[in-house]
Amino acid sequence: MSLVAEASTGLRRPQPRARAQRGLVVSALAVCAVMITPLLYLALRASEADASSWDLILRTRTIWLVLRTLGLALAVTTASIAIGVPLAWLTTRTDLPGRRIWAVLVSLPLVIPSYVGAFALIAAFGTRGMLQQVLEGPFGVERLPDITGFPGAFIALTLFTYPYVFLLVSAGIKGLDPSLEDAARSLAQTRWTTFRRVTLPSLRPSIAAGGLLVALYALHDFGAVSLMRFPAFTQAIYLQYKGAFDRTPAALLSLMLVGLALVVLILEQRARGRARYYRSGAGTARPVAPIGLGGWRWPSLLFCGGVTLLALVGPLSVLVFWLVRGFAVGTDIRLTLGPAAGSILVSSGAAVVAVVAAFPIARLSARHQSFFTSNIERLSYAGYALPGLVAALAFVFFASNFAPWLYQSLPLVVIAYVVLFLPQATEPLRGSLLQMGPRLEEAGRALGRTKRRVYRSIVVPLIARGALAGAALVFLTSMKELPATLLLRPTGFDTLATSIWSGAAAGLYSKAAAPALLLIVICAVPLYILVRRVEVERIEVKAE
Amino acid sequence: MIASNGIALRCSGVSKVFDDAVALHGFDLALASGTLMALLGPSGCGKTTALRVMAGFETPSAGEVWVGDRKVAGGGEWVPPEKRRIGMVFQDWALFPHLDVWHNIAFGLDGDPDRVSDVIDMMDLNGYERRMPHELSGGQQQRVALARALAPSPEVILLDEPFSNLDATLRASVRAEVAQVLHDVKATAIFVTHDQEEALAMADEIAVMVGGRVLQVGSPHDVYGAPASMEVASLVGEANFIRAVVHANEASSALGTIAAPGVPDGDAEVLVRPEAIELVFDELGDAHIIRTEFYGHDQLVSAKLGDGSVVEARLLGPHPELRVDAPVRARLAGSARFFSNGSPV
Repeated sequence: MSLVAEASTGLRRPQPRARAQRGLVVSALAVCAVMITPLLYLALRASEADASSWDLILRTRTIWLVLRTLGLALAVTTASIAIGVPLAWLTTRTDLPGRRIWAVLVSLPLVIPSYVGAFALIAAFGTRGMLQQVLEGPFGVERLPDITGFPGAFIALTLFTYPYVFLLVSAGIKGLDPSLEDAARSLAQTRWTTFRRVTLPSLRPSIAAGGLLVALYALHDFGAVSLMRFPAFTQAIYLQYKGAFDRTPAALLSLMLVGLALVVLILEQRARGRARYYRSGAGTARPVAPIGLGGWRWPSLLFCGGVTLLALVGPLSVLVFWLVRGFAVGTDIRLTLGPAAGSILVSSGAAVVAVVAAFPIARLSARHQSFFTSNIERLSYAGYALPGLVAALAFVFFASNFAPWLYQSLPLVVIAYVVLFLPQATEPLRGSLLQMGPRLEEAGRALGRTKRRVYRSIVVPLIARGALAGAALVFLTSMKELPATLLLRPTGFDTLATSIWSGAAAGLYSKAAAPALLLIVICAVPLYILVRRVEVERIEVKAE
Repeated sequence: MIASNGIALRCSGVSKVFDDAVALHGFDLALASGTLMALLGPSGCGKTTALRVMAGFETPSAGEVWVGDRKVAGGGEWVPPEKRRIGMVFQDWALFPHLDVWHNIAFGLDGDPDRVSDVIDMMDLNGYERRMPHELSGGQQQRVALARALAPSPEVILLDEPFSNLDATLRASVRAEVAQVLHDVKATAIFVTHDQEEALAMADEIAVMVGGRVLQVGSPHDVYGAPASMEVASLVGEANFIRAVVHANEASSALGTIAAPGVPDGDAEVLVRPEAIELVFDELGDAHIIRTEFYGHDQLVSAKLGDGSVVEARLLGPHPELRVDAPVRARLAGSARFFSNGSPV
């Protein structure tokens, strides 16, 4: 009888499918509204600009600003490709000794934020850096030539962004169908012409994607260029914001920077080309015999070693040098604990909020694909495309005008992180939802469990890994975030990033070294989770 | 909760319109309790949609669905899938990848270890309780999926192309096994298939579906022997259609004169199954062989008849003389059915 009773409660109910989806759409729309707030607000602010603001912007020096910034981005991108592509090829396709270890070593600089890298460079080669200190005793060197400006910004950005190219191109090479190359060889092409006419063109999308990440990073970067005192766009915006009472010019400059980023995006689309690249046959690619380097083995090793030395060992040694130096002069290392707690607090807050906010968007995009939902997904990227500094400025404007209670509060810092990094949580969630497919939930329903119980017993356990990966990514990037934290933090609240910044900007190298090292160590944890996840997946693929 | 008339599941006038396509259009079906029914139709005819409407994963645009005496969809009423007591075996089996065999099977039972053990015994899955789905072979996964659906003793079990994921060598044995289990537990079940052989071999009843509606329901013998239309005839088994002119209860055709009792005079089409055609080597025959497919136990031979039409004949035993281009004589060696304007007479 209980069955009948249960059945009758089931009757006369509005269709639950439609209702649940509405809830999903409403929450996704709410998330998107927050995501596009900064951009909308900037546009609003800029539309209020009067002639004098425009005057200020349209002076000739703005043209130089654009050219300088683009020049830096172009140089960094070119150099990153020049470093990343050969490294990727060497570690995936050749018989380079220890290529697995090299692959890990040369991707590790990714944990070093560019401002920490810039700081390490200054602390090593700057006017009163490590090198000078070492040389002072025996040789009486009191000043070294200045490395700040373009060279410093260029070196710092390149050394800590080339891993994007390296990782994407490595993945691209591994995904290549070796039978394409075999086909070319059978069509009487030499190894070199095969590489040039088949391999390289097939890698174009991954090179373009890696280059795009690097170029956007260089355009958006605030910490490294500021520490290197290179007058790039972000620095100009920051100075404008700090120096002038009227914030409209800062808003105008911000929008121009967003426009520049858009141009880069369009260029990347072009570079990607119209061809589609995929393996046409089914089944996994067979393993490829590594290419013998022969006499090129030693130069190749030297190359890998040099990159590792400059981008990883060097910066870490410099930081350790200054840490020890700090101990010697009695710097209190416990002063770092407060900022570390602050960093972890806001970053884990952002990680949790981002995963929760990303769920409706991931769910809509994975399960209810339509014109409408794909636009929702696109909107949710609005913040991700913004430079941290620009988003932060928009939030400063917004909060001081409309929500003074939010201004300089921790929740605002968390919101800014979520706006900046939301897609990092959406992507893995979406991936695990897609991998799971809709049938499992239907199977759960057919076995008599309600939607809510199916969520709990099937959906949650199966997307947990994706959620964890997303949370780890958001945590990692939030830990490293500098400009938004600088602008939005409550007075007296410090994170590792802001203490590195203030120490480095004031030239107090030993004060910045401890938080920098601690930041790198803490970032290694989520990175380890991410790497583990990729490995587990690879093993599972193998098992099938 | 079988309805008083013994009907376990009924769809009447069900339509389902998607944004850009009509999947079901006046879909009627009644499934008697204890029957194993095949829903047979070409791909894209709406079979899977019909199943999903019955299970409650799609809402019908019009029409009603009844489980026993209970209306579960239509007329403003809606019972969610979890309350319909309809089990489902999915095409890709949809085993929960984070649960082992035991917990997959126990999923639909609110804690009844005895029942889980029973089902595991029944499906011959002993020793696999702690295996994870990815550690099982295709056939084993199939058995777990069926066990999981059977465990809560649903009123009706729906199977969506349950064997299409198995390779050909495994399919026949798994098919027989599944049919046996469903029969043993006296399950009421519908399975969707586009494989006529599968439908004929397994089902008590076949519902032939084309273009979103059911064209004929009947036993395999009825549907094969007395198809309701030429369309059904060509969907179930291989069919030759031969033109004939009927006069005074006799039809003259390229296969000679055929008895046509009760068939009105005029043009007609004759359905002749391949096994009802005999081809005999004959230097003077007006037909000739155009293709042969040898299967060992029998062969399928296509011949071009005197009037230019082509028929296929299934011939038992070895026939080395029937090579391509060999002259033959074709004649009817079994029953034939007459159609006029597409309907049987």
